[in-house]
Amino acid sequence: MQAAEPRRILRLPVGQDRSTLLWVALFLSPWIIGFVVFTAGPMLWSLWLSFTNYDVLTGTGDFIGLRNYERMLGDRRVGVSLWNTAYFTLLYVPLSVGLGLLLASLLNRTGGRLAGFFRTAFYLPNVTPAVAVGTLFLLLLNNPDGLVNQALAAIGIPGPSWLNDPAWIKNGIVLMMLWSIGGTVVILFAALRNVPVELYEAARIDGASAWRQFRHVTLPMISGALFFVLIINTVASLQLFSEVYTIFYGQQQGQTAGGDSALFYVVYLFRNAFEFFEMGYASALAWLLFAVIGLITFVQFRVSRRFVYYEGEER
Amino acid sequence: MSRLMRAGILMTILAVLLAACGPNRENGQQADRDGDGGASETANSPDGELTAGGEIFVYGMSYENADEIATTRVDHFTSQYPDVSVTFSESDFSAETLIPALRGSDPPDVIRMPRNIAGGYIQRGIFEPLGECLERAGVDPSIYQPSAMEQLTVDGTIYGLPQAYITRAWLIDNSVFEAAGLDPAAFDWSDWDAIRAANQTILDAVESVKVGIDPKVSDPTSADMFPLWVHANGGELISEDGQPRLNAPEVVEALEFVASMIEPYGSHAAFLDARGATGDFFGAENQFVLDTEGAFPMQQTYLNTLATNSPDVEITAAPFMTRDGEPFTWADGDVLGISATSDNKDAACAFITSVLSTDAWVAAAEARQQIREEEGVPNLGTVSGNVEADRIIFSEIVDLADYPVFEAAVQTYLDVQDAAFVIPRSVAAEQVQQAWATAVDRVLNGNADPQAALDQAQAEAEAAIADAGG
Repeated sequence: MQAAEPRRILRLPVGQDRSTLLWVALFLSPWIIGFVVFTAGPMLWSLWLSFTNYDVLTGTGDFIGLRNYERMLGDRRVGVSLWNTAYFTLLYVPLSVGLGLLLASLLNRTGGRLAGFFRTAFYLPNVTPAVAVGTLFLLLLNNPDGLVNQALAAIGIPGPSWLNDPAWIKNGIVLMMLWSIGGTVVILFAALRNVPVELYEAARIDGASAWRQFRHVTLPMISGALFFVLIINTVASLQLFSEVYTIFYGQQQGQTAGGDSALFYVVYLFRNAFEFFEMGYASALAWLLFAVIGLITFVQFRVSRRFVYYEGEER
Repeated sequence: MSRLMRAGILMTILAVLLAACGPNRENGQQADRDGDGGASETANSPDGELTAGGEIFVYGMSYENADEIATTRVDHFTSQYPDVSVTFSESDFSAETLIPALRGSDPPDVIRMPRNIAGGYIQRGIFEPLGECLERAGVDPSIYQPSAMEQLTVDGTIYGLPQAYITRAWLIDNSVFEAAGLDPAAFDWSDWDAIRAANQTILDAVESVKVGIDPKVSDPTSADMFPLWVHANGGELISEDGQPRLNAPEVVEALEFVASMIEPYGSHAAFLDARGATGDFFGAENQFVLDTEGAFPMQQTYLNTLATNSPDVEITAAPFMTRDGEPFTWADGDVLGISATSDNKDAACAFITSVLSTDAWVAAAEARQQIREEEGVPNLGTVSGNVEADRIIFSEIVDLADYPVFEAAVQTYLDVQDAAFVIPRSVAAEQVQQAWATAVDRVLNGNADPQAALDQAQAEAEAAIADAGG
C-alpha cells in the first residue's frame, strides 16, 4: 500500500502563512464586520421576528410559529401588492433594457465632446434623490396641466390621468422610472465599447448587414452585460419603494385616490412595519420577497446559460 | 463560546448600533431662553406645586419653522419655567420617525400626534398617565373640550391633553350657487336628494364650474370627510367600545350616496382631474375666486387660508346636517402627552400644561391678532381645544366686524361645536382608517360595490384589532 503524499504543495512557508492570513483577515475585517452586523445579523433577526408577533413600538412579542405566513395567504393586499409589483416589473425591465440598449448604441455612435455631454445627461437622473424624482413626476404627470399630458395634447393625444386613474397609475410609475435608466445605459455603453472592432470588420467583409452585425456580433458580445442589467433591474423593480411612497403615500396620506393601484410590495411591507408596528408580519413579508427574488434570479441564471456568452469561455 | 452566546453578543452589537440611530436632536432647535444649555437645577411653581428643570425633547413639534401660535405658547412656557431647556424634533408626527425616536438612546419626553390615532399608542403604553401631573400643575381638565378628552381618557385615566379642536362645515361659493338658481343661505343640507340634484344643476348651469358639490371623500385619509356622511346617516365607523362598524347599513348607504355624487363626471379619475383644475386651493387664485367649485365640507382652519389669500371672497358657511335636520360637526386635532420613557417627566408635565394653558393660548391669539392687523387681513382666531381660552379668544380678541362674510362663517363653525362627534378611540385606528378609506376608493373607482367593499373592510378592521390585542 502506497503511503499518502503529504499535501505540502498547498502550504505556504509557516511564517509567511500566518503573516499572510493576518493581513488577509485585517483587510477583510471591515467587510466581514459590516456584513455580519448590517446584513447577516439583521437577516437572521428578521427571520426570527417573522415567527413572532413583535410590536416594534413596544419592543415586545411572542413566538407564534407560522401564523404570520398563514396570514399572508388570506391577506388580500399581499396579492394586490404582488400583482402591482409584478405588473411593473414585467413592463419596466424589458423597456429599461431595450431603451437602455438603444441609448447606449446611440451614444456609441456619437463621438467627440457630445458623447461626454450625453453620458452625463443620461446619468444625471440617477444621482437625483428618489424623493425628488417622485415629487418632480407628481408635477409632470399631473392631468391635464402636467408637462407630459401637455406634450401629448400638442400632438393631438388626450393624456390619461396618470396619478388618479387606477388603470394608468402603474404605467405612470413605469414612465417615471424609465427617466432614471442612466445606470443601465452606462453599463451597456461600456460593454458596447469593448466589442472588438475586428469582429465587425470580419462581418462586413462577409457581407453582413447592420442588423446581422447587431444580432450576431453585438448581442452575443454584450450578453454578459445585458444579463447583468436584467438581474439588477429585476431586483430593483421588485424592491421599488421610495418614488412610489413619495408620490402616493407621503405626507401621512396612507391611501391613494387610486385605491391600491400603487400599493407595491415593499410599500405594503414598510407600512406594516413602521405604520402599523407589525414587525413580525412585515418580516414574514420580507422573507417572502426574498424567496421570490431568489427564485426569479435562479431561473434567470439557469436560462442565461443558453444565451449569455462570457469572453474566454468555451461553448 | 456557545452559539446562543454568540448570537446574544451579535444582537447586543446590533442593539447598540440601532440605538445610535436615534432621533437627530442635534438638528433640532432649542428654545433655551436663559442660554445655559439646560441647567440641571429645578425652579418655578407657577400654578401648582410642580417644579421643573433640566432638558426635554419634544417630538412632533416645531419651533424654528412654526407660526406665532406655536412659538408664542412655547415662549410662554420658557418664561414660566426658565430652567427647562427644550429641544424640538422640528417635524410633524409620523409613525416611522416616532419608532426610532422612542427606541433611541434618548427618547422624547413629550409626544404630539393626531388624537384620532392616539388610542393605539395609549393601549401600547406609550403615554404616561397624567393624573399626578395635572394635580401637581394645578390644572383642571374640565377646561378642555369634553369630547376631545374622551378620546384621551381610558377607564377614568387621562393620557394626554388636546391641542386644537378642528371642526368641519360646508363652504359654499355664493356666486356659483346663485348662478345655478340656488340660495346658499337657505339650502337644505339634510336632504341628500337635493344635494345630488344641486350637484348636477351646478355642473349643467354654471360654465366656469369644474366641480359642483364635492363630497370630499377622495382626499388623503387625514382630510377625508367620509365620517361626516356616515354620521349624517345615523351610522358610525367605530363604536364607542372601539369596534369597527364599517359594513353597517348606514355606512353602506352613505357610501352609495357619495359614489353617486361622482357619477356625473364619468369616473373617479375624471372627477379628480376636474377638481385638480379648479384653482390654487391654498393660494389667491382659489376655487372661490375663480368660481370653479360650488361647495364642499372643510375644516375651520381653511378659513384662515382664505382670509389671508382672498379676504374679499364671497362665501357662506353652513353646518353639516343629519338627514333628520340636526346640525353637527366632526372634531379632531392633536394630543400632547408625556412619553412613558421620559426621564424628566416633571419638565414634560410642565411643558404640556403650560403650552396648553389658557394664558398661553390667549397670548398666542393676541400675537396673531397683532400680526394680522399689521398685514391688513382678518384674524379668524384659533380654536384651541381649551374651552376657557376659546371663550376669551372669540369674545375679546377676534373682531371681524369689518369682515361680515368671515364673521358669519366663523360663527357657523363655533355654533356647531357643541354638536361635535369624535371618532372613538381604537387600538388599531390607522388600520381601521385604511380599511374604510380603501373601501371608499374601491367603490369610487368602480372596482367593487359598496356592500362588498365594506364587508371586506370590516373583516380587515376586525383582524387588525384582533392582532393589536383589542
